[in-house]
Parts: sequence; structure tokens; C-alpha cells
Amino acid sequence: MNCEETLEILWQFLDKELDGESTSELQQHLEECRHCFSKAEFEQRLREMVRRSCSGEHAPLELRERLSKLIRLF
Amino acid sequence: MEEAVAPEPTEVVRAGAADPGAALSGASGSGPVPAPPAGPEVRVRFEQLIAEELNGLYRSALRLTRNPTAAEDLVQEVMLKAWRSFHTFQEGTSIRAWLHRILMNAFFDSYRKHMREPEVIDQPEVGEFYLYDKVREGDSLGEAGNPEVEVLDRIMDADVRDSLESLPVQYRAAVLLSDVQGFTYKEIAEMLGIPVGTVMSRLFRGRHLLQRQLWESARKRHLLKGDGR
Repeated sequence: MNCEETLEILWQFLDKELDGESTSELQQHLEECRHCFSKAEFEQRLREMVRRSCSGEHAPLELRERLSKLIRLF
Repeated sequence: MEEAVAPEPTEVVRAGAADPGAALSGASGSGPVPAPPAGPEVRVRFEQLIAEELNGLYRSALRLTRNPTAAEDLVQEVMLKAWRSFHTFQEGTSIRAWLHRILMNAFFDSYRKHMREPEVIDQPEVGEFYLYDKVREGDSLGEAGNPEVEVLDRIMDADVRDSLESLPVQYRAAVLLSDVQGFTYKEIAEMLGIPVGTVMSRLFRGRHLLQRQLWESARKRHLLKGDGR
């Protein structure tokens, strides 16, 4: 697998949507190519950052209490 | 392995949602809705699920509606719909996927009625791995070490949320469901009622756009060298 082919399916790899064969070919390329490895690492960290940024908010207590009441009514 | 069977109950929801007379219609509808045949133990179980899933669902609703009041209304609608069709939920499958399916249906139903913006906007082409390429090409930080990682470390959480919320809604939904909620392409396809190939193209385009927004926001915050600091 060359760099172009690797980058083409990099996101599918990071999304864990590749089949076993493509996964091992891609992993092998990442082990050998610093450039692609660095890109893959960056994308992975970016994803973690997006997830973390969107994981801090809490539903208001009033909503929680209202839902509890509504479910008893319906 | 549990994930593989997750779509099952959402099929039932889709069938219900397609029928306007079905029990799933309008949480805000007038008049009392017939109670589901549920004993107290079922309600306890459902309330337990709400306790576990409410924050995640609320966060997704916030990203979609971009407004705390609208997000609360949407979550309330979704939870009531879920309660009424809770008997169709299959134990052992993903409740999170099931609730998000109902969330997406409810959001896009209301969205289409109000049409606040065109659903798909033509976007200029952006390169692959936009942010990485930008950071590398300019040696933007002008410091030794690992410039890519340092830029990521300096971007604020609020900027990430704002950047995500600036995306056209179709792209935003795909990125939210994959990158934030971690659903599979197949689960997302079922939630949005589109083919897996369309999920992938929206997701990849959405990520390009998100990276471009993050770059702009980093520039505005003067995190980078050579932008008038």
C-alpha cells in the first residue's frame, strides 16, 4: 500500500470500518512511513479533541424533573 | 458484538414514524395519549435509562439545535416518544442508538417544517486533512517540538463546539454521530435514512469543513504566527 492509497482510506481505518486485510496493509504502511503515521496520529488526536469538547454539558435539572413527571402522566 | 444487532429496534421506530396515525406522532399533540401497557417496573427501568442517557442525548440536541431551550424541547419530545414506544425496544440492543434514531427523526421532521436554512449547501472544495496540512506548511508556531500537536492543545473546547455548529446541518449531523457519539456508518445510515455511501461522503466532507473552521478560529485567536499578531 502506498501513501496515496493509505490516505484514501485513513478515515475509514480510524472509524474502524475497514476489513481485516486492508487494516493490516494500512497498519504496515503506517509502521514504515513517518509522514502517514504523523497524519494518522494527528487525525486521531483531533477526533479525541472533538469528542472531549462535546462531552462536558449536562442536561438541566428542571428537564430531568419535568421528564419524570411527564412519564408518570402518560 | 452487541452493536451489530443494534439497528433492529430502530426499524420498528421507523415503521411507526412513517404512519402519521401511529402512537409515535407528535409529543406536543393535544389531549391525553393512551398509556402504554406498562407496569411500574417498566417505568422504573425507563427512568433508569433516562438517567443514564439524558446528558448524551441533550448534548446531541444542543449541537443540532444550537440553542439550549430548543434542545430541551427536542429532548423532551424524544423522551416522550421513546416512552410511548418503549415496548418496541429490544433489551440487549443499543438504547443509545435507539434514542438517537428517534432524536434524528424528530429533529429533521421539525427542521424540514421550518426550513431555517437549505438542507445541503454547496461548499467550496477543501483539501484532505486540511488542518494538518495548514499547520505543517506554514510552520505556524515557529517553535521547536511538535507543531501539529501544540496547535491542537491550544484550541479551546468552545471553539470546537462553535466550529461544529457552524457546519451545514447534514454534515453536522454526520460528524456528531460519528466523531462525538461513535456510531458506526451502518447505524448512522439507519438513523438518517440514507445509504452508507452517503454517510461516508457527508462525514468526510463534514470533517474537511470542520478542520477549515478550526483553522479559521485558531487564526482569529492568534494562536498562530504570521496572522497579524
